[in-house]
Amino acid sequence: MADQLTVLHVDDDDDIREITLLALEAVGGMTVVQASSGAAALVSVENLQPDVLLLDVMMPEMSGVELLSQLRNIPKLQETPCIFMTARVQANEISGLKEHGAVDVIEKPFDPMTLADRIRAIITA
Amino acid sequence: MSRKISLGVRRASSLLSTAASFVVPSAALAAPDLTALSSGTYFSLGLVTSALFCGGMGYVMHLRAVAEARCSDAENQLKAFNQHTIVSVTDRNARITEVNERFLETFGYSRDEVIGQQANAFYPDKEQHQFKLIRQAMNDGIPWTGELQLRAKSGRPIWTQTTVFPVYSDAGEHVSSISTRTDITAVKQMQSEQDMRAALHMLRDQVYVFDAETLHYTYMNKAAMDRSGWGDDYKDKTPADSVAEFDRSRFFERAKPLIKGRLPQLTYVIETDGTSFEINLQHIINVDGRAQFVAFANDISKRLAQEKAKDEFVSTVSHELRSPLTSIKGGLGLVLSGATGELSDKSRSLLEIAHRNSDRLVLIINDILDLQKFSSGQNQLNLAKTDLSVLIKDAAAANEAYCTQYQVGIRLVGTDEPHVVECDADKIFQILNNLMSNAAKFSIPGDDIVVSLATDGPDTLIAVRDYGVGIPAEAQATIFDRFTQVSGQDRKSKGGTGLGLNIVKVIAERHGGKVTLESAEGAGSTFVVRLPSRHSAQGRVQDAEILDAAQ
Repeated sequence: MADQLTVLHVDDDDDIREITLLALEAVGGMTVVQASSGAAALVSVENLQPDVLLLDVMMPEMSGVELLSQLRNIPKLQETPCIFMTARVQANEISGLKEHGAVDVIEKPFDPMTLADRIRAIITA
Repeated sequence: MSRKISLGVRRASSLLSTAASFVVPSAALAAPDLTALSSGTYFSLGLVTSALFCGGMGYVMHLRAVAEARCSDAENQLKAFNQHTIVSVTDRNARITEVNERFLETFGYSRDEVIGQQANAFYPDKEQHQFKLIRQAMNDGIPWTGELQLRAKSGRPIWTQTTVFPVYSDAGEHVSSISTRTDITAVKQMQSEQDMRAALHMLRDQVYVFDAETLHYTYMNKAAMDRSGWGDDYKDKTPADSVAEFDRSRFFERAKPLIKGRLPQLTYVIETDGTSFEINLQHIINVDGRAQFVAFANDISKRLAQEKAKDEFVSTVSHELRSPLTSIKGGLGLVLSGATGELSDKSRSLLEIAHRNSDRLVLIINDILDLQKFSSGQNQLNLAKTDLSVLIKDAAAANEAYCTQYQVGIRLVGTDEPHVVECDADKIFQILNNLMSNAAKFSIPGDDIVVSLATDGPDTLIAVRDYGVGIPAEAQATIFDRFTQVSGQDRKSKGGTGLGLNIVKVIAERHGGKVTLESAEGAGSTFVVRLPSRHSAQGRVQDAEILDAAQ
């Protein structure tokens, strides 16, 4: 894994994408590739080997869970750690997401100043 | 010696508009249970009142004629009358002067206990108003007839059909009143049982009664009959005919705590034909010693669907609020961190206000979600043996940074030794968190907050004490209510949600405990959470296990 992590961030909310970009690149020193939908993300990964998948759960057309399922069909992404981001924070909702293959779930709203540190801590745990 | 009195009314009355005069021997008045006519010249009081009760003066005259002609027939009628009718005589002040044997048998008193008593001594409180009405009727010269509930010496209610007549002297003076009563208690009871059965029959819930051995139905109400489609023809059916999934041995296993008398009732949910029923099962022994099960089945499919829809709604609302808050809080946080450049002091101050309030909104949403989960029963306790000493130390560590922000220290008392209780560690942690953050917020900088752990008999006490401004007495009664804070000023300056203490209360009560407050203005506040003993907590677990097994 490279020192500077490359994160594939997928979220349909433009504002949250912008905040996350700042939090991970400007504050966290990561490389971020973003997509606004599952379909766009599947195109992006054709020429990308991300270190982390950071996926919003509630997206129209293709949810984060469906997207992860499709990403797992791509051989080079079968072992890439996935973190879901969600505003649905009830315990049963979070445990359900972990069962879908996420290493962890980050609740929205998150703290942009510590987001990158959290991601590093999760994938090195 | 005899005296002449008149029975009837001073003023017009349909029944007794022509008052008749009788000569009644004083001896007969003294012995109203007289069973033999003296000579045919006089009538006993019993006969007079019997006659009145049976249909008015015409019938009295008729009886007199019959009595004169056929003494033995009248004697028989009189005997029958005394056996069936309760008679009492009162003076003008409503004191009892005479009663017959039937009165004494019915009410269980001796004659000495009755004579001289006020008539209303036999009236229960709820019938005292009737006594007033009767007295008024007597004063107005009008006979009174109606149903009246009286009370036997044993306290047993006696329902009577009562008629009371005023009696006047020749001078028109009200001298006494005669009451004749028929005991209708048995009829009333039967009527009450019929009413109850009719109510049961029309209940919307399905009611099934079945033999505790053969499981054959002995009763079904209308809702149960409608569902089964069997009508009245259910006597050879059992629950296995009602519910395809019914398992006899599993049923008896489930009902064991009922049969052994360990539980008064069991409540569980079954699903059959795509419908969810909440079953309330009881085990009863009939008066003939036969054991039966009574099952109330309530269709809860709609309720479950509504609960699911409500949960979904709350979850969605939460999501819809959190998403924009992510941008607001995130954007403000990044700007405040300097990631986008330097800020003037004024800009920083305003942005900090906005950031602090976005934090508060997040807390409110979290608290509302927690409370919603408790109210919908989703937030079940996860009971496990927990060392409260360790839990309190963890909570203190988690709140250290927050307390430092308010320049407040944390002192722990009674946490050196392990103190293990059966509780939901996460929920108790939430209690500690809420109470400690409150205590820090309302402390005076430089002070400590004290978190202590102690026992009181079988109970465990967790106390969180601060030495801050305290809570005025008038605010203490509502401090555990939702969205309650001491004042709007506090909320603004301290950033609370007004839900934290309500959550503390709900969690404590879920554990079978409670939270109390001792506070005085200027002297700080102590919140004490009382948790039931390990033993009782275990007892609750056992009960829960029984219920789980039953389900």
